[in-house]
Amino acid sequence: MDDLLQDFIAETSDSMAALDNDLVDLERHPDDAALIGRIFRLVHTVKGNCGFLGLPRIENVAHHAENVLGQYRSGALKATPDSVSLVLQSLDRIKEILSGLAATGREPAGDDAALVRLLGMAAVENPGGGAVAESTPPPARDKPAPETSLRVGVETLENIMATVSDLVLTRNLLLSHPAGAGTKEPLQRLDRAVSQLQEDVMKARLQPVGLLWDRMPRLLRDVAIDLGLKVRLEQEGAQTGLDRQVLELLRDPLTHLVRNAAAHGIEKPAERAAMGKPPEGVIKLAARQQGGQVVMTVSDDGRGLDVQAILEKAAARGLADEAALKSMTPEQAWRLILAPGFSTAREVSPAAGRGVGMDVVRENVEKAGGTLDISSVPGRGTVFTLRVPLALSIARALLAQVEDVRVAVLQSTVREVVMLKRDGPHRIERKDGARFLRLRDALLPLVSLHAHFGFDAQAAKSLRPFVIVFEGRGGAFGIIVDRVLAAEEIVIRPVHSVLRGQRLFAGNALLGDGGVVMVLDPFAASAGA
Amino acid sequence: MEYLAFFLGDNLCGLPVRQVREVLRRPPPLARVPNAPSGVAGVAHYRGRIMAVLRLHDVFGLEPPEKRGAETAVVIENKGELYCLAVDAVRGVLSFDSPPAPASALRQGVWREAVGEARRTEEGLMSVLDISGIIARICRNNEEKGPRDGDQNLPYR
Repeated sequence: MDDLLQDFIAETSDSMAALDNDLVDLERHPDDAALIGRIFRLVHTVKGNCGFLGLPRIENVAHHAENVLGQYRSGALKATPDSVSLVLQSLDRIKEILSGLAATGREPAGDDAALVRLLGMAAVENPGGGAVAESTPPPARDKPAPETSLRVGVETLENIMATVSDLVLTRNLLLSHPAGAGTKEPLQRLDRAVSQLQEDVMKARLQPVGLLWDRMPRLLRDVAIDLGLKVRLEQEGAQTGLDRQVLELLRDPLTHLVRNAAAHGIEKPAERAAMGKPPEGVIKLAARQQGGQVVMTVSDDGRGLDVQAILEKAAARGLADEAALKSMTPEQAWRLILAPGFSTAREVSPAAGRGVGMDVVRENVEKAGGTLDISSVPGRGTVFTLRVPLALSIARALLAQVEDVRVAVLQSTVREVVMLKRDGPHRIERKDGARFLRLRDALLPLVSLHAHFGFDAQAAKSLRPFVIVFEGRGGAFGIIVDRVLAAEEIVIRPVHSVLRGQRLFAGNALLGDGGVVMVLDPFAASAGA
Repeated sequence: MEYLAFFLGDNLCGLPVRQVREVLRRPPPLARVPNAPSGVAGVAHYRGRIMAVLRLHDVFGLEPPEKRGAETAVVIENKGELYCLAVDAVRGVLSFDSPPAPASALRQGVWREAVGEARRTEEGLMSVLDISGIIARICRNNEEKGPRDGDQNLPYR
């Protein structure tokens, strides 16, 4: 594809995201002249570029949207929710055309006449838009200041990352040999430089979490209108950096959580007023870095989770037996909503999600090596807390061995490691042919990697193995391995495409010694047990 | 066109030189991957990246080399991913001016799918391997999880 066209797609996509939020803002502050001016200029720039590149569909839609915006600007038209909705619809159309453009390099076929007619009707006078033209400011960028950032292709960045990984491994090899005469000091310098380089490249891959949040104001607005709610979105820490891979994995879970917070959390304005709450609900997104992790919360000031209703639903769905449900603490009950089968596609309204359950949210967070926690106060609201590693590409992992195969598990997912000693306190018990670990008062189901890997489990009988304990969806479980080797930082890569069929592995990783291990997905291993 | 020519068993095979990243005298340390599809020995490290190590002998149904791990390793790139092919002996780079030999209706089984074209050399026909075809075959066998069909040892009959 043409470079120019590629730039246009990237730039216009950015503008569209910014416009979504600006327009939602505009609805709240219909008289903000500076805001109207900014929106107008962005749309005008998009239109201008289209003419230049020969993109008649986008140009046409942008042109008619601009007419409406021009009327806002001149004061001839008030920015009512109805007309703002129409402009938002035009942006959606432009986004749609853009994605077709990105895929094929040309505008997809389509008919925009109906939308254009509506826009024309909204722009009360002069559908041709002549009134606006002479006051149009130059479409140049707002800031003439020199650029302090530039776009770099993801592929370039990935290549640099690969080279740096290789450099790190080579350095490790060098350092493992005794330094010869005169090489000690240069080696130390090399060591420092490589570490610095690694850190910088990692940083270059970080993107602000705000990129994930960008589409939330719009999403929330649509849900609120659908359900007759009043909701405000607050953001804190949008600049917190997160690896782009992790960011991608969190996109859907976050969308789902925000949608749920509005659809299930926030009460109708009248209901809120009756409880003495302000009629407008608040959903807050917050992020901060904490050590090697990013902690992100999605909180609302709504009705909170109804423990009784959750327990009843769990019982109806057979997620746990009655005795277990009765003895549950509120904390345990809240976690039931994360169980597969708790929410079903049938009862999911368009506002609450597209057939995605909370179990999928949790699964995706775990795929990113993270955890999801819930806390809630009746009548006061609910907080979902996501803890994810800063970068998926470098993570702390526990290395274990099964026969001659080394595997890694992300340390963030490990609850504890139990060594099975003869006459030790922890024993393996058999029940109905399955094996369980007696750990303190609990009986944990055991997963055998020997069986998963097609090894002869009998051969490993004589060993005194280790059990790595994970907190699974249906409770804790253990994975038996022959040895636990060490904990170390690993550089994780997506699974090689020829191995994609393997469900058991979440990735492959380079070790400090230049070796390669497969990264085990303990939850997949437990599901297949 | 230039090709890297090598032997797989007794079969002279070639790969377009532009696909080849490097020829390693010795395959790098291999990490075995349990349940890997037939034809994939495991993964290995290559310059900060991870490559899949393929056993072409298994793919083509040839007798495995006498001493595994002693083969020459050819590192190639296909669709952005790295693969390491263990081959028996590298013959060298051959270049051709003439167009490739006509389609090979006589090929059987895997040799039909995994070979793109043929070249005449002084040592007989050289099969130019189609890496995409080989990978597609490996992945398909993996999905089917069934036994491989009765591939013949001979590329031409």
